[in-house]
Amino acid sequence: MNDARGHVLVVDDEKRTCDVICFNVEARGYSVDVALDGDSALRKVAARIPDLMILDIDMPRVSGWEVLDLLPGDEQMSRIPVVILSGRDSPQDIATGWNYEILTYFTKPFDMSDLMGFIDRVLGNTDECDEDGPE
Amino acid sequence: MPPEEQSLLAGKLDSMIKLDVALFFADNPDAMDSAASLGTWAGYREAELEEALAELCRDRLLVRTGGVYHLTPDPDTREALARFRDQYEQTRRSVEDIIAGLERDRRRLAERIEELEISTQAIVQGMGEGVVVVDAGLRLRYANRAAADILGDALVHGLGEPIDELVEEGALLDALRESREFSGEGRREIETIGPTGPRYYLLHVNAITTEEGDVHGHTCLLSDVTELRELDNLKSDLISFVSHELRNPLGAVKSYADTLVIHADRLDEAKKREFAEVISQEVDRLARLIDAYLDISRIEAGRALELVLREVDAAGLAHRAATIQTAAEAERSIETDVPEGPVTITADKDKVLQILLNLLSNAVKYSPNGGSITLRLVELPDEVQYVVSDQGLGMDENQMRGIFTPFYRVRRSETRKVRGTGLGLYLSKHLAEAHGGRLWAESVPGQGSDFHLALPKCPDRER
Repeated sequence: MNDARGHVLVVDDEKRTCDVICFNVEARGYSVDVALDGDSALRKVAARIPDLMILDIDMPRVSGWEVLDLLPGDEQMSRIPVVILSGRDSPQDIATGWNYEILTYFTKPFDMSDLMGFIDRVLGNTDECDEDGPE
Repeated sequence: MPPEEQSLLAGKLDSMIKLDVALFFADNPDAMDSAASLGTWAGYREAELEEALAELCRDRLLVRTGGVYHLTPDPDTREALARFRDQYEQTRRSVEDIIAGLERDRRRLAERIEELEISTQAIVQGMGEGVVVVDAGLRLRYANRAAADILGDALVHGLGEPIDELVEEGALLDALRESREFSGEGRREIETIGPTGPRYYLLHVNAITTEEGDVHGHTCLLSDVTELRELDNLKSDLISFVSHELRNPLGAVKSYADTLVIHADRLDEAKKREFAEVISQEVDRLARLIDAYLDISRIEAGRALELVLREVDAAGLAHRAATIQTAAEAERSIETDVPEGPVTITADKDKVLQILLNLLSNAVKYSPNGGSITLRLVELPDEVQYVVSDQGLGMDENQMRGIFTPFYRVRRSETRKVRGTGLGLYLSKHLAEAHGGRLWAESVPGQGSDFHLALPKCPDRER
């Protein structure tokens, strides 16, 4: 795996969602790891700080928000770019996301091309002229 | 004696004292030797008596001989006086009777009022609703126990005090001011923090007015609407949960379909097939969820569940349920202990599958620390029994009591994060009973639970 392009951690208790995101992320040349619950996400972050984390909210035991609360406060960990990917779409949930300074919020069902395009832009791997991304 | 003479006599007895003295002589014609001996007779002063005696002599009712007063010897006057005395006595007695009767009524009324007051007090004191009454100057006239529980104990000893010195609740004071100054009524919602969490009250303030429109005071009624509010919250939770629950399979379908499209030219046949299978299974899951919510709304509306009864292999259903559950959560495998070969029953296979999947996913959810999960099938002469066993948290008798009621979820720290609507077992029990079957649980706290689903082999014959 070409780690130079970046390392992505996918956190979701729905294994199939993780599988299909991993497939797409790997196909774009990133290395990828999966956590099926919040505990495991925290362990994986401690073992290797990802360049980007795709995070579900509703998970048994430790929720997505709690993962963000429990991330160690050191500079590297607290600056992990986070993309929330959740079935929740209430304004309160989205507002909570902004309070955690997440990068963006995708609600399920989401468009896979949009998600991949977003990852490319965040990790600075856009080959084409970036038309719709930030200046 | 003719009537005119009677009234003439009555006219002579024109004062109370003369009447009393005359009646005395009617009974004791020769009793009085001198006015002085009367002393302060019957509460009259001596001078008054002297004057009355002199007047009665002038009126010829009495005669005075040798300083002694006697009743007149005239037989007509004597007879008239005797009759007058009888009539007077009769009237006096009936007036006394009337007065005694009135007094009895008054006492009875007073007792009744007291009883009413006591029972009203008891009712108002015992009411779940808080009641506060203030006068027109907003001074406390009455507060019941519930009001003191809601607004503070200062109300108990604050009779006559200004309400704003007794109560801090701004909404109550606002509503009272509104009632006094504007509309004669006020409505507010009050939220307080109780020992078991927030409580919500609906406050109704109404002015007490006379027919002329004068305001005597205001009543404040506080109704506890916490349960309604919680039910309302539960309803919104359920709606948001349902929409969330549907989004997961929908999200999977969309992302696998997207992936098939994006990578169409690079995917080998095996991968395409794998993705298509996921899509198919997720659509099945979506359909099961929709069916479940429709069935729940049927139950809630009091309508019968619709079953499509066909001959089906109970053993095959057990394997299918285990496969679907394992596909969804691969890290928790399901062990099956199922007789070989078909075990034919007549049932709605989708509904039985729904029950088994509910029981299996509960077994996974409520055994967060692992342990084996087993699905057994036992064939009996007239029925089959599925048993789903886990080695998870288990439940005590108290916790088990409500598990089949809607929205019930065993509340404790370990299960706080367990996702669920509290509708799965409720629906499963109804589905089992619609088949003429039974669903029950056996559990030991800390050791796990067994859920038994018994289904008649042929529901029509059984019922």
